Amino acid sequence: MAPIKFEEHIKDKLDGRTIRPSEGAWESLSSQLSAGRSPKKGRAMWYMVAAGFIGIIGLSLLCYDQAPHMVPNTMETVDTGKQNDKPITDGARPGELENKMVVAQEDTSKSREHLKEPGKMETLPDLEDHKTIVSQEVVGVPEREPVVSEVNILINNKVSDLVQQVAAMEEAQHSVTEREVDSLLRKAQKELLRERLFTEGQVDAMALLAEAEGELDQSFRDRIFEALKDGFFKVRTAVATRND
Amino acid sequence: MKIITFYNNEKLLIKKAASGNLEAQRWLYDKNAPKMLGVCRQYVKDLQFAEDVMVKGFLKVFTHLDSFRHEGSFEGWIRKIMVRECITHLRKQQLVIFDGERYENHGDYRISIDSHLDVEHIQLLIDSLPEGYKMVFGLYALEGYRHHEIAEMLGISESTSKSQLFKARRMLQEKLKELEKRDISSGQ
Repeated sequence: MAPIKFEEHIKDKLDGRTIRPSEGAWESLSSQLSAGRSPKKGRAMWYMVAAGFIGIIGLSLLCYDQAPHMVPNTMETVDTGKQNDKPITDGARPGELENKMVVAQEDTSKSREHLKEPGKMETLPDLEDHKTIVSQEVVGVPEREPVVSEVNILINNKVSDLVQQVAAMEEAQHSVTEREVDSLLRKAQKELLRERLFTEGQVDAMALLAEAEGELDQSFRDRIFEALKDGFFKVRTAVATRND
Repeated sequence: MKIITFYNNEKLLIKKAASGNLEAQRWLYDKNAPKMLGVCRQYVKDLQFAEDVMVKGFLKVFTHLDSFRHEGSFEGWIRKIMVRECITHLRKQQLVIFDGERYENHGDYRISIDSHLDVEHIQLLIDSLPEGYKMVFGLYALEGYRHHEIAEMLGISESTSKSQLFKARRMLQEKLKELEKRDISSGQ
């Protein structure tokens, strides 16, 4: 018999060998496999919880960031009012603090138009609530200028009406007394206030509130009167100067 | 018929096993475990320990199935994992001691035998080798690794690997001679 290469022989023999493992071997393996799987699930759950926490923190940060913006906006309401003060108080100058109050009232009376819109708050139980709304109605801020200009237009119209009335009276009587002018101015003031109170046949709650505030202070009425008076005399002087 | 086709598609089963399908894992285990236990037994003398090593090896196989690229045979890939697991086990047991004595001229020392040996006798011969010799011999002669690969795997120098192989072969030849003598004397 020819010699056999030992290493090749044992390799062939051992490669063909199989040993049946015990049943417990698979049990042990499958339990280890399932144990290895469960932490992955648990880890996934923890990832989800962590993601949730991060989301909550993110939202809170977002809210926190937005909160300080509200305060300057409220402040801005007063500041803008201060800027809009001038057209109303031009000539009268009853005090800057009072002017602020008036513009704030004007502002809210305009912003009530927003409140009347569907989906917005309609009732205004008292003055305190009204003030709260003023601070909340940041949207109303850009419309403040039209409010002031609207009042100015009304005053200017009234002034021109007055000038025409006085001119007509002068033509008829040759002279108009100071008292008559004063009475005409008072009348124009009342008309102006009435026009503001009743818009398109509906009673304006905000205007009523502003009126109530006005009664407490009287400054608004006075300023309207002063504005009318000032305007009237300015126009009259201008006409007289032109005629000369 | 469909079931047979399904189970014959090893690639699909590997994919399923990789995704955690226990049934597919069981099938792959049943197919390969007997052979792999034989591989582990070549290196680990105790069958119970060999089985433990095999289970650890299969755990690595199933948890790293994604890294199998289908470039070689799946059995070959599992076998490599099993051999490495055996090395880790023997090293942990601190059974592997590499003989410091070196032989500079190893030569091509090949053993020839006159008659066939059965698997039990072969295993007995291998078991009789010291762990260091056995490991290098197994990796070189049975698994087909080169000396530089063995040196890297075992953390030894290439020359140490060659020395271990030389001594393992010499010892095996002595054992074979003893076996022959015993057979002759028992035959008389």
